[in-house]
Amino acid sequence: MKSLLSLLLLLILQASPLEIEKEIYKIIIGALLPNKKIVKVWIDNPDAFSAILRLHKIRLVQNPQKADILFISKQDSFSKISFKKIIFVNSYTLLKRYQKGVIGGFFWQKGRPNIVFLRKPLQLHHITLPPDLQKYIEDKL
Amino acid sequence: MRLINTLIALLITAILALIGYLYNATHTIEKDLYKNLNKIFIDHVAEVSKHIELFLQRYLRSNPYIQLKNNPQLRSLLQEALALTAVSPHRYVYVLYRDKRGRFRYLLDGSQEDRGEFNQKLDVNTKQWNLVYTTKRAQLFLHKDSSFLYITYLRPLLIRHKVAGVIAIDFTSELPKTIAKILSPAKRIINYLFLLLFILFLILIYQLALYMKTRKKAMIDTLTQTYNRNYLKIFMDHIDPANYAILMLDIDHFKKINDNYGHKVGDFILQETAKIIQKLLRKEDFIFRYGGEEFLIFIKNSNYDDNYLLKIAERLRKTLENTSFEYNNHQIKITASIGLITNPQKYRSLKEAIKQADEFLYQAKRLGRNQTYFSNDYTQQISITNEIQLIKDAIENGRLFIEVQPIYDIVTNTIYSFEALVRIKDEKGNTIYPTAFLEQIAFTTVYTSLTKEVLRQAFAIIKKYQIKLSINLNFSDITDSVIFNTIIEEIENNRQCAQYLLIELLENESFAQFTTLQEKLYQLKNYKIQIAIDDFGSGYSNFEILKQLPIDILKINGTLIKEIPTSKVAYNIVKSITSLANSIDIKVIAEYVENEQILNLLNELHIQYAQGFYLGKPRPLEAYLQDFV
Repeated sequence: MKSLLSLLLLLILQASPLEIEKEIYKIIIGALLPNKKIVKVWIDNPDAFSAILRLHKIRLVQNPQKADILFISKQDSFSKISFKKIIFVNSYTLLKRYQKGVIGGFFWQKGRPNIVFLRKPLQLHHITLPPDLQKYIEDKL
Repeated sequence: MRLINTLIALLITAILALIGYLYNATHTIEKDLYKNLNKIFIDHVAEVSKHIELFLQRYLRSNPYIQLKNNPQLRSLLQEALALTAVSPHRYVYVLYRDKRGRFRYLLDGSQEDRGEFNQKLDVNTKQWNLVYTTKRAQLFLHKDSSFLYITYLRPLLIRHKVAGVIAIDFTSELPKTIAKILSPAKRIINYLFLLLFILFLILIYQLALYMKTRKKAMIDTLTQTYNRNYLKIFMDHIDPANYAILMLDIDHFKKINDNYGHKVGDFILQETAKIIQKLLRKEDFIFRYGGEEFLIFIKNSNYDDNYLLKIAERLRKTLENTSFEYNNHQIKITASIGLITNPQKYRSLKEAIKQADEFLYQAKRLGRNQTYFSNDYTQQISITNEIQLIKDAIENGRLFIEVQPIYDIVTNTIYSFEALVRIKDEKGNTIYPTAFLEQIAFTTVYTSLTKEVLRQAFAIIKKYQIKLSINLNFSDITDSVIFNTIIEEIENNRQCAQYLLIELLENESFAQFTTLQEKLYQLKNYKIQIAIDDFGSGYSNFEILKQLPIDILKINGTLIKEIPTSKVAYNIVKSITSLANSIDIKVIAEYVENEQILNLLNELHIQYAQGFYLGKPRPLEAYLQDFV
């Protein structure tokens, strides 16, 4: 709730898209891995996830096997990873294509930040989202 | 000064207010233009959305979601049609519907880029979008929280009077940029105008600063950095005399400093003196350089008593006395004399109060210098000051003139010389004789001015007629450096005529400065000027004079001459003075020859020169010219 408030404040103050992204990723990571003090993150493209790199409570890992969560922006990356991991993408296309293994996605559409969580992968990982994020859960795409 | 400052302040305020108003007006115009252009775009998009609705209504039935889900061809057709309207500045044109869970999803998207898929969720501001469903009316909202989106126009897609979806048209920040582009030439002109006005204002400020600087320069004495007489005139018009005490301070024997050390040192002393005075006084006090080495000081008087003001004056004087001025390894000490007026408001005008301060200053000098003089007997001071003013006015307005009385060589019965006698005409044309005014102006600057004017007129006569002419001076005039310098200055200006000048000195004082008197008389003799002792045989007459001073003529006291027909003593005194004078080659002139009997007795006493009413009364020179030339 606190995080959502700060996001709202950011929006009101017309923060830069990067700042908004940073806050959204903070909320997402916090919701998916609520018990982790330091979250080990693997990303396939630093340019696509520069906002994540700005977060404090994450540790970037080189090996996707050692990561708690994977952030993917390229289709090629799916060949390198295990679908047992929590996977998050940054496009609707990837999300739709890999909806069975990907837990969710965050992307910009028409200048608006869009968040989608997929119910089945959430259940597979035994993740219950906080109430304020429930509205972003989709059954299928 | 205050009025000008107020006017300047008002002018600057008015200009600033005008600039402020213009600045505000420019922005209001810009805002209005912006608003109007915005409205044009919005009106236009309202029309476009209306046509889209009409167009869609032709194809869609009660449940567009089911219809479009089952008919991809229709979807494609309608999207292509929508795409025709998705042109700058409305970038995104799309239709969303609200699902059962209240989420908004795409039905159609005609956007050229970032196109959403059918039934894809779009996270929108549901509160505003829901309004379209509840009100069934178009909504417009500004994206204050986005740097990318500008305005979103929402129109309900009504099918059978029910809201089946929302037609959305997004304006991106391209729109304000487009408007700004349209406004830019007008804005540029306004900005240039504003800039021009601002530059003009800066020029005005610069000119004003320049004017103030020049004006200040014109009011400040460049040497001492104190105010000068120009500012004194303005200052006097704007102050209440009751709020000030006046000090007239003069450096004693300043000429000696100039003579002994040079003018550079003199200037240095003046600068340092001014600094000391400034340091000892407060900001609310005013210092003016009144004359060469004379400072006029206005002390802001906060109900101080006379003694306190006297203490201030004395502190100034003592500080100057105790200061040792060092210049090029020379240690120079000075003293100053001060005339103090504690209540200037008791005089008819501030000008008169200053004159009185000047008189007090002379009084301080006369009493031996290095002291402060003041008096609180205002009644006497005021009447004297009034008379002095009358005399000053007469001198300044050319009402001072000379009459002459002939001095005859009674042996040859020809005119030997003339005695110049000063007269003043008052404003009504009445002639005023020196006995009525000389005493009052003694020891004031007016006396110096009078001496200068008499000498100027005397030399003008000598130059024109080449005749011997005598003028009357006191011993103190010779010893007073100010008056003596004035005399020397006039003599220097008329050096070739100096030999015709005769100075009659009146013994009106004891000879406190005998050495100075002697030196200065010899200095006059260098110009071949003849020196006479007037009224010899009375008052301070002292035969020592004949021994020590370069005397050419003795004018025997008129009272003695008048008495020679009746008093044997007078006769014999005159006889012995004549005999003594003849023996030491000094000429004798008998005054007050009022009748033939006296004239005959003078012949008997072998006195060669005589003057008096019997021989010729004081008259304008022209009256005697026929006899003489």
